[in-house]
Amino acid sequence: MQLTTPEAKEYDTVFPGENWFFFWRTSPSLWESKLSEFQGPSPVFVPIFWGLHNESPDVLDFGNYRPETDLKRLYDCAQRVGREIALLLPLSPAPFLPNGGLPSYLARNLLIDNNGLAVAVLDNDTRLNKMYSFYDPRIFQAFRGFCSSVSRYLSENAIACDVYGAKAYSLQFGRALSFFNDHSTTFNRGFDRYLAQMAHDGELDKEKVLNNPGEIETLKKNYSKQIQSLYEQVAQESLSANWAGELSFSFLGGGSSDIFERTSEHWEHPSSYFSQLLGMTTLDFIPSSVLLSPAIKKDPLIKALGEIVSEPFIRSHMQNELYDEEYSSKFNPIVFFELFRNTNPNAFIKDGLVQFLERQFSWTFRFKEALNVNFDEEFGNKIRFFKGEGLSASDFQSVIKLFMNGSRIFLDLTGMNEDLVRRLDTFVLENSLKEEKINYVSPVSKITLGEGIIITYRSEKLEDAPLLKKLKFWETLISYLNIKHLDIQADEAGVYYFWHSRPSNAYELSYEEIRRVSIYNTTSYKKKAKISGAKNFAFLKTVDQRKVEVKSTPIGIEVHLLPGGSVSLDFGFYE
Amino acid sequence: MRKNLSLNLLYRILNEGEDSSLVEIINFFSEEGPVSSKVISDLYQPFRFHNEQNLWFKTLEDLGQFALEVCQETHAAEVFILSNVDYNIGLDTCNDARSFRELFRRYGNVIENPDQSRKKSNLFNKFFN
Repeated sequence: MQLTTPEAKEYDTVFPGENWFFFWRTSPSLWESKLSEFQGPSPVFVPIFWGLHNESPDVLDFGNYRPETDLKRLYDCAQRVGREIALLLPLSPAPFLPNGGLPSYLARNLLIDNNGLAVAVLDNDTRLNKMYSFYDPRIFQAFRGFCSSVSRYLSENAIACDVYGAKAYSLQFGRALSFFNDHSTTFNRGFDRYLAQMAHDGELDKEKVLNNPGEIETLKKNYSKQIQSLYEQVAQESLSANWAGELSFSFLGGGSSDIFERTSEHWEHPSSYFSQLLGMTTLDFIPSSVLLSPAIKKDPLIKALGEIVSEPFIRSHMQNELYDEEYSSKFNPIVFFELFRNTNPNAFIKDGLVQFLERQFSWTFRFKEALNVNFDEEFGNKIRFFKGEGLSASDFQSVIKLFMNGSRIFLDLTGMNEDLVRRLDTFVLENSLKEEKINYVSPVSKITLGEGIIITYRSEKLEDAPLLKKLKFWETLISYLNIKHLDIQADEAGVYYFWHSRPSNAYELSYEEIRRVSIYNTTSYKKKAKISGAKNFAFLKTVDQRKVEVKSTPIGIEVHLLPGGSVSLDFGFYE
Repeated sequence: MRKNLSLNLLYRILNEGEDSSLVEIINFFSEEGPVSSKVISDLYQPFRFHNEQNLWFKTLEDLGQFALEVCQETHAAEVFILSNVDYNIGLDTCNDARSFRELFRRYGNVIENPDQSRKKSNLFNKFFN
């Protein structure tokens, strides 16, 4: 009888998911061989584990006392085996590290969630990582010192790899929650000091604010943002020579309420991780499965992780990375729509847009917090949705510029600054643009200029309408844009699918691009999915068929999936 | 849900003002998953005094009574009731999944389901009397 499977366990311990390397979990003498045998995407993410290097306040160890803290040795190992590494410096409590990454002498005030519960996360080895509040001024002071030490160490040892600031999030009930989010007394004490300072500077009438819960919430958010940006600033300034930007990761199973499910041996189910995984992609995070045990990461979850969190996907999130042809010629997630929310997490939900996209264009939309378009680069032909409420004058200018460059835009006029509404009217009149107006649930106006389209509407008219009416509204409006996409009927619970595309190669010149849909059955039952045939698409082949039967029928393709089954289907797309 | 499981109930006290407070359920689950929302919703009706979605109670006694009724309805052996404050204290002593699973048993107040304990004693009577 085999009692243990040491090799597999050690691989999962050291490489807990995707391209992450938890180097401190193995002997430094094995780093080189581990890195050379690693099969995952590049670059390898190497977290900077503050608590590892700084066990006591006066001691900073980078290989002086313990070899496992020797980042130079690790860097040299990677160089020797030709493996690119990127260092990740956590800018928030890191759920995959003991104490959230903090040295134990600083781990004093537990992070508290909105239910008043201390936040703890189970790692992939069933250890409990407790998170601590980053609002403790002692932590910030020590972080500043640590960043300077890391910077000095990297420069003295000629370690030339990129350093990224890593922000950690989890997904709870479809919403992203930062590990910076805190309701502890430590947070409240800091917030009181913030209010006192504002009152002292004459920026705040404290009495008035205390009687307005809405105002307090806004101020708390501002305070939180300010503290986060202090950490970001310190890290960026200290490590400027190696600094490559910030990356936002969302950890599967990292939610504060996930602990109840994950500590039970009879509860955890991989299908819940599927919706988290796909939800994270719509929020534009890099999903990470490093917290999940190997036992839970079986097919089809492990397959989906490999297909979705692929090297091109990771590279596309790395800000300073040249997103060269090598990656753009590979399969990338299809994104038809970008929804700009102006920091309002409820935007586009009340008006039914999100529900419509979830039904008709599953996982092909991305939420964006801020408009950040580089007009010098190609910005694609995505359809962009903007909320007028909170739209700044400069963002409005960018919207107009996008439109003039041929973008297709939806603009919600509800709550939009009156001055900007007038500027839009004037712009249409002055340029004699073609404008069609209809009244359909909401006043709708379609302005066109060459390829560019702006469709304006008022979400306030939709909010109280029945869901079916909202869905119909969006179906009608989006049909104006003539999006070419295949329809999949796989609405049975537990069947998920995800679209990728890549440009056609020299052997596929009949097609403009190749679209791939990967279908996964996460249940213990047989399931079925149908893809209706459509103009502009030709079925090419099945890829990586596991426990699946694919049948061609006169009306399209039928996929019969056994429990845990998965398959990818390639279609050629032509105009 | 299997019979004779242990339920765990996590609550917090919300201060509504100087003189009034509410007891709110944060989580109610067993090792097999959350307690069925239908069971909760049906048994909560007599305790309901508001129109919100939240599971609020006027007193801890009401919460205990509700927990017992859920226990009886689901044929659970017992329910461990724990406040968020005690949860946080207990969590500080946990290092892994196993110690976390013991948290409710170690730090919570237990209410036994009399129906299930009677059944247990009957079983013993059958063998030993």
